[in-house]
Amino acid sequence: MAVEMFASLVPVRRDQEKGLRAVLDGLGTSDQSPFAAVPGTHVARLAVIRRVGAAAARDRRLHTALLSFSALVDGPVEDWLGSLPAACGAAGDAVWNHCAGWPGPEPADAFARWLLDFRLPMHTCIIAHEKTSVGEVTTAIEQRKLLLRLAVAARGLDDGELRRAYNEAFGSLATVAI
Amino acid sequence: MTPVEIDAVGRIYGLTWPTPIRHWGRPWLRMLFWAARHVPLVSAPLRRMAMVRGAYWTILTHVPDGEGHRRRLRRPVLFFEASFDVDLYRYIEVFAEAIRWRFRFLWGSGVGYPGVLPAEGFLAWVHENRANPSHYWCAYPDSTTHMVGSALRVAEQLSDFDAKVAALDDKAFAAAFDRLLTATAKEL
Repeated sequence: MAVEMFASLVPVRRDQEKGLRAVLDGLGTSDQSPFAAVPGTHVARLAVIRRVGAAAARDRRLHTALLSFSALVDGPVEDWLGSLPAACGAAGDAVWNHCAGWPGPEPADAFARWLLDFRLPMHTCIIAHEKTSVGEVTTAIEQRKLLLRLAVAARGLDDGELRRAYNEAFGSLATVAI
Repeated sequence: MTPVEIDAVGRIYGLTWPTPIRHWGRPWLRMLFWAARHVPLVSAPLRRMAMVRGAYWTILTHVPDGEGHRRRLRRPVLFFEASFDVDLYRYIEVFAEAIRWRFRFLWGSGVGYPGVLPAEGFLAWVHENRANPSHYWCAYPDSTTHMVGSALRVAEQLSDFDAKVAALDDKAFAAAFDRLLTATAKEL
């Protein structure tokens, strides 16, 4: 498994920019985000782009607004894109239906192909921890927290109590194989 | 300058930054990016600083027009997007200091490029061009890239420890646990 970057510029349907912005503003953060339900998502970003260049330069306005959609995901990207419509559900559909040519949520491979048509070629890409899945990262973060907590608690424990505390803390948590 | 929204989720900052570049910038940047892809030394300092979770650069000459075609842009655009550990001002300051010439090579062809330092001028230029975020989500927003690196190293040590202690008695276990804490102290 390798972490991959997906980036796209998707055209927004005429007269739909305002509606799209309203939908995006209403997307919840944290666990309420539609991306929270998509397995293998490290980071996801959406931004509406209406112009390129300084705001003062009038000729920089685009013919149609573009939705910049990018994500850092557990690869392959094609599989991740295929899982998006079902995982994001209605919240995702409410975003994509403002975009030109959206094929609807089904079939999933048509949705993936539609987004791949707008994929940006990357000249250079940098990804930290590029061989580590979301699950491995979140497990490792949790283990670090547990170990820190145990390190503090260990001061008052005898050897047997320490072992029991360790087993309690890590017994149910699979250790990460990196 | 338009008001700038805070582009962050938890401890992770973001930037979506399409910048028009001068026409000579396109072949120049292609050469630079080729070097970055094929000569590890070019991008090594950026990777070494471990502040960037993910970043990409692409040069756009055409964009979709919403009618099934692509429309040529008046100028080529350097499209940069990144997720990183510090606020934008600090990001610019750190990178402009640490990799100043690379920064100049990279952004020097941008229309309105004000120079790398002082960071205030560069920051104002970024704000003029950046796209405000609409939605930003991260699976582990409270952990910076640096913290994730530490957590992965702790997990690796813990995995080794776990495999070794099963057969130990409580006293030997406690001694091994002590050694584990010493070995991971820097990462906790």
